[in-house]
Amino acid sequence: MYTYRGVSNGHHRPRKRVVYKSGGHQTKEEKKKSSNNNNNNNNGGGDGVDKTDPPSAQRDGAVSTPEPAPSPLLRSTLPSRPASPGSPPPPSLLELRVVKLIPSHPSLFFYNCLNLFRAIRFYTTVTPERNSFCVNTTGMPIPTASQCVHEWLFREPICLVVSHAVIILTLLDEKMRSPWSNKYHPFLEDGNLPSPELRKLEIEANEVFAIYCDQYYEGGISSVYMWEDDNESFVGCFLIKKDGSKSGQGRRGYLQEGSWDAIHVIEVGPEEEGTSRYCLTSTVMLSLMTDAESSGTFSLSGSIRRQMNMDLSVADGHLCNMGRMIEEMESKLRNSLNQVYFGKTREMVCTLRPPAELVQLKLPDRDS
Amino acid sequence: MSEEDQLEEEEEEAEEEELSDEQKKEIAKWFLTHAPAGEIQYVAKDVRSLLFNEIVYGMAAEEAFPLYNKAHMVSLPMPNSSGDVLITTFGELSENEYLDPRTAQVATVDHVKQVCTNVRPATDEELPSSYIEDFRGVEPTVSYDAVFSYGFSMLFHSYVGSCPLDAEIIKYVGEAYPKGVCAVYCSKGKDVEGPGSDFELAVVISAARHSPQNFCNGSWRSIWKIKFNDEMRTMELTGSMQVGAHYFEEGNVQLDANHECKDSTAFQAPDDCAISIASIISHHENEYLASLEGSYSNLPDTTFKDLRRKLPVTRTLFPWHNTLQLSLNRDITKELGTGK
Repeated sequence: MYTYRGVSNGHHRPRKRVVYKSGGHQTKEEKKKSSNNNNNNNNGGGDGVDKTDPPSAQRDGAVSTPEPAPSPLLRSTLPSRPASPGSPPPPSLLELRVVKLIPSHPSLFFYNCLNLFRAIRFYTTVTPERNSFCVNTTGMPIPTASQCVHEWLFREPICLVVSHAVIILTLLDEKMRSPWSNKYHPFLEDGNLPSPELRKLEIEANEVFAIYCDQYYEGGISSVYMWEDDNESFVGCFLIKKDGSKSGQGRRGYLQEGSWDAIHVIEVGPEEEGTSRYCLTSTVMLSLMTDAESSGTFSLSGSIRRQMNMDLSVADGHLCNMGRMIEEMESKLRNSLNQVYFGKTREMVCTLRPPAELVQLKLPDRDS
Repeated sequence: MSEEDQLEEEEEEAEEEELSDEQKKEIAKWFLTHAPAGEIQYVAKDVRSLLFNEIVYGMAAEEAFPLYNKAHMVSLPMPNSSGDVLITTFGELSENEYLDPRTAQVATVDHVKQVCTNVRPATDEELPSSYIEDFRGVEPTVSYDAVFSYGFSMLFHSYVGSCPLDAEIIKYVGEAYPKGVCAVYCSKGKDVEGPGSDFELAVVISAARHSPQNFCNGSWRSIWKIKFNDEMRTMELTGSMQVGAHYFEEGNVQLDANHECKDSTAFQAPDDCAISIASIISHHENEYLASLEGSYSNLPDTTFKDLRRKLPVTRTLFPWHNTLQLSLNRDITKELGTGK
């Protein structure tokens, strides 16, 4: 009925189609690109069959191997536990597993590198306030930048990057559709729009999600995008952005800097005997920093991504099902960030320098 | 539009399209120097394959590795098994040569491979004067100068090995850090021959833990500068501590914490100086650790809550089954102007 696992486990999303329709965000460049993706995916044998991992071929990078490019795009970009516990995994900092995905054709490879560098350059130079943060902490900016970049590069639903759309789309000089007005900015005459029926759901989702956002985030911005998929199914993309800093929407004023970006992409399969299959992929990227005279700057930042699949009755409506899944997922992500991920860095600090009480037992206090 | 304008525009477009090698190098360098503790080699591997240009990569690595090694105060084992040499700006004699003040040796290092390739004894010019050494070092050999200035008590102390700062710091680091490496440099006035002039020592502590098999790396770095003010008979300490940790199992979280502090005490005889410096350092570092713990324990209920609450303001799960009601309510409150 329901599975919850790290995305890294890989290839469990039954994928009906290969290329996402991106709701009119496609540009010339992108069309070129997605046709390439098409080819790649066909080579890999897409078409509704779960692919098996070609681990060794991918591990050493697609660059040198003349094999067809590894195709299950998003999945293999994620940090994964190594098959054998002995071999140290490459750190996931840069998420540069991107390399594995880069098509083997040299010109395409170069094309992607170029885009990557452009995006990163943009990210680090054009947005000055972000940049100053980059300099201070090694945490957030790198995964964020490269994550949006790889998502952008490989056209896993273009909407995935919408929360960073300002960055990415400005870069591409692309146009964005407002989920509220359904208009493109800047104006675009023949932009793709969701069907009237789906647009209705989109409007409702945006309204409800804004309330959800209020209740959990005490502020924050949300956007919901929906687009049609093949096979009578559709995809919803739920985005939340919260600035929790003192100068932003931090109610309690503890945070010098603080941001939370949640990206939920949920694929809704066709209805069969009153139930639909929901595949949710969620990413949370966050950074927080406190700054006090007595304790200096303390900054934690990072990102996690998880996936959840459920078969649910559509009696309560899609929005209700999607909402519940997202709510559950967000709580899980928040929990594991708080307990596991922050906890592990805390453990590391204690390993580096065991807590003071222990030391003082051994070391007589010589302070006058 | 004139031809010139058009050309210019085209140029601009081309610029937008393609980064110069110089720009690529800078970006690659940025990635390398921002690698978390102990992870630069992994990052380098990725950057290299992304760049797909050995020349540009080579240039970036050449510039980035020394910066990274010095910033992280990497410790490298010396080939003649005389311990580790710390790569720091204080010990930097030339691009690849680093002084190990404890053994009075100069290590030649390969920054990119992060290994120490050669060791030679330091020359007299490279070492501080014996007066400074009295405060700093732990040299078992006693110079006649020292005996001359301080009498036989100096000689006695040297022989029993309870000598100055380095020894005290070794003792402290050994107790406080399971895997700490430390060094004491003379950062200013190394040629001061005797009382009457100011000088500065630098205590450097670097503790790193790399365990990629457990998806975790981290480092603790402290730099303490001790200014010996001869005229005022005071020592002024400024410390800066930097703690980093990276955990990346099925996710990616980094801690980056920095703290600076100051203290001062009386300028005494070398032995007393060493003891009071070590205890000041110990005191501040313990306090800082406690404040880090404090920051962590504040997270769940205060700090993190400003990003996202554990439960909605209503303290019950969101009523998804009844969203129509909710949006109606919202509309009404909006219309009545009672919202916000």
